[in-house]
Amino acid sequence: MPRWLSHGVMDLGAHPWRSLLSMVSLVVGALALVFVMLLSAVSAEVFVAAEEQRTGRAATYTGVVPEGALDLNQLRAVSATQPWLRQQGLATAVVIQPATLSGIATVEEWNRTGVGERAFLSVIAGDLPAVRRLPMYAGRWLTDGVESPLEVVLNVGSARQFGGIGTELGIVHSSGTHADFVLGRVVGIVADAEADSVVYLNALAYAIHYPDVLAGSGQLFVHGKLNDVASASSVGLTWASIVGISMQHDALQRYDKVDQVRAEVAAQEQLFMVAGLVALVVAALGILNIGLAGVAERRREMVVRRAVGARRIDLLMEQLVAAALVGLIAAGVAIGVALLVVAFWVPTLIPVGSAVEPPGLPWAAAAVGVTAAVVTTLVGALIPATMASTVDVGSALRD
Amino acid sequence: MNPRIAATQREAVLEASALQQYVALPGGSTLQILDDVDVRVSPGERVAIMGRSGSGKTSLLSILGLLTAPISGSVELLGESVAGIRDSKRARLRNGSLGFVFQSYSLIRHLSAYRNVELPLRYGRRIPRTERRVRVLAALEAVGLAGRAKSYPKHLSGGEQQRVAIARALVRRPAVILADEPTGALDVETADRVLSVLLDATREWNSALVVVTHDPQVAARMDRTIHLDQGRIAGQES
Repeated sequence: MPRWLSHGVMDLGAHPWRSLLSMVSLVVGALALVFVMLLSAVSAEVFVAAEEQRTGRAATYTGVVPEGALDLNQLRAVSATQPWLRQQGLATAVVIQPATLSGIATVEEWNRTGVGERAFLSVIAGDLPAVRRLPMYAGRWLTDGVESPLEVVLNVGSARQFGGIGTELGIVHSSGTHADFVLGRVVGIVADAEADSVVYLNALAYAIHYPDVLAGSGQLFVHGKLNDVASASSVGLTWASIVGISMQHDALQRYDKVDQVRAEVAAQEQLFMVAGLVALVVAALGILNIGLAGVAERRREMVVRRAVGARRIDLLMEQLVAAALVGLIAAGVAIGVALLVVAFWVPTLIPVGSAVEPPGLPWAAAAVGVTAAVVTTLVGALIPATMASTVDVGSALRD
Repeated sequence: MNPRIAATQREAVLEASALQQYVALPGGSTLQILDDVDVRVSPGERVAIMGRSGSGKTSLLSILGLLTAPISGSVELLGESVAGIRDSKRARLRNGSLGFVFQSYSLIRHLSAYRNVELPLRYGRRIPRTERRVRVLAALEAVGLAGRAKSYPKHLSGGEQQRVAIARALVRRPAVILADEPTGALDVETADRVLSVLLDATREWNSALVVVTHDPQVAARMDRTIHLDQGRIAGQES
């Protein structure tokens, strides 16, 4: 093999333009394949991200927490169990819908009118960003702090309505003819894919100032690598018993639809792959063409090599090793370009607040690219190499 | 000296007996181009093969050089029959015991003179790089081109290219060098100089030499001349 390798290296220098053309052809093919794979992955990520932003990460299960089933101690337990859950690769969140009419008002508005504008209050216990993709446009997500003013996170719609980070808001709750409010301050603006105005509050902090919120029902979300409803229910019920929430055995159902989304984009990924393979086939044909021209031009050289002692296998392997070297160099260039693009350019295309995560360095695509480039060159070089190895050495004295 | 050559000092290094060769013609007929040809080459002997075009000179040289196999007859190289041996073994024998000089030089244009001469050493039995270097430079020295080792064929004259080809044929210290019209593409003066180099180098390196030529002046400088006519040996002279 080292001997074939050294012949292969010499071969590259022998026909630099031909080697360069082969490489260009391959770089285009390998780049096409790598970018097609990347595009396919990004495209799938866009759909998955939208679903995980709207409902929950794969896999998320949900169940109903009955009205009045929560108290302050349980809310503390929900927060306290999150680190342990994270260690297990799990996350839970309870979203409470207040039983009373709610609204939001700026302090000036409240002082002037005594009423708030309608907005959906989403009162959160647990780690909702671990359950749903909730990228921040600005600021940060809620902490467990309970001090006044309460931490408030707005979605884009409510931020347009009420103001940005630092805005002081009244969280208004009405009971019959009586209305009161709790002071809050906006700490973050989240992209939650909701068309309506939504205001996110920490359940424990809000409940300390307004205990009646706990009279409402809640929705439990359990996220983790949970394969089916039974295992999700088992995890959910165990966790619920630890924090003291009573739930029914069959309470959890799959909530996200990421699996369906992935199944839908799989066909599209196959189309992308076909496009990439077509690019490689074109590259292989180019290499075949260049190789055939090369063998025709170098027939005399092959005959001379055979005359001075090269075996057929020597000529075959020299040609294939040279081709594989071209493939490896081309793949290296293609993957280098792809990595640079992924590392520095693609992230700039993703808008702030998008749930789409920048693609990681495409190692799988790189591995496929290297393999495909080498296989393509070998396939493209096989016929010329075979022709080179079968030249008629008997013609050595006749040319 | 090659020990196998030494062992066969009193024997022929190359011997062919009762060679018959045919070529296929368009239409399915065949033409006999060698008919009952016997050739014996002793160690260090210089033999010329002469004859008109189509007399079978090149076909005979191809068979003696293990480039083609005869339809019938036997060929022995260093006392070993080459009948029926595999292609890879033929390649090994060509590499180790035979050297070729072609009319058209047949240097590989993208390799330097050094690399062209080194080529036979890169096939067959593995030879360490340092030993290869010593052998290549010695072969180039033998043909008076030690100073042109880095030159590429396009920068060498015809005579120089043929001297590089002679060095390539010599570098394995073969038992026999087979040359097909080695001066055929050169002017008279250069041809004479190249022939002298070939004769001196083969004598110095103790290789036998078989030369196919049309040129009586080339044949005159050989030990023996075989005349071929219509595929048969028409005569021999020493």
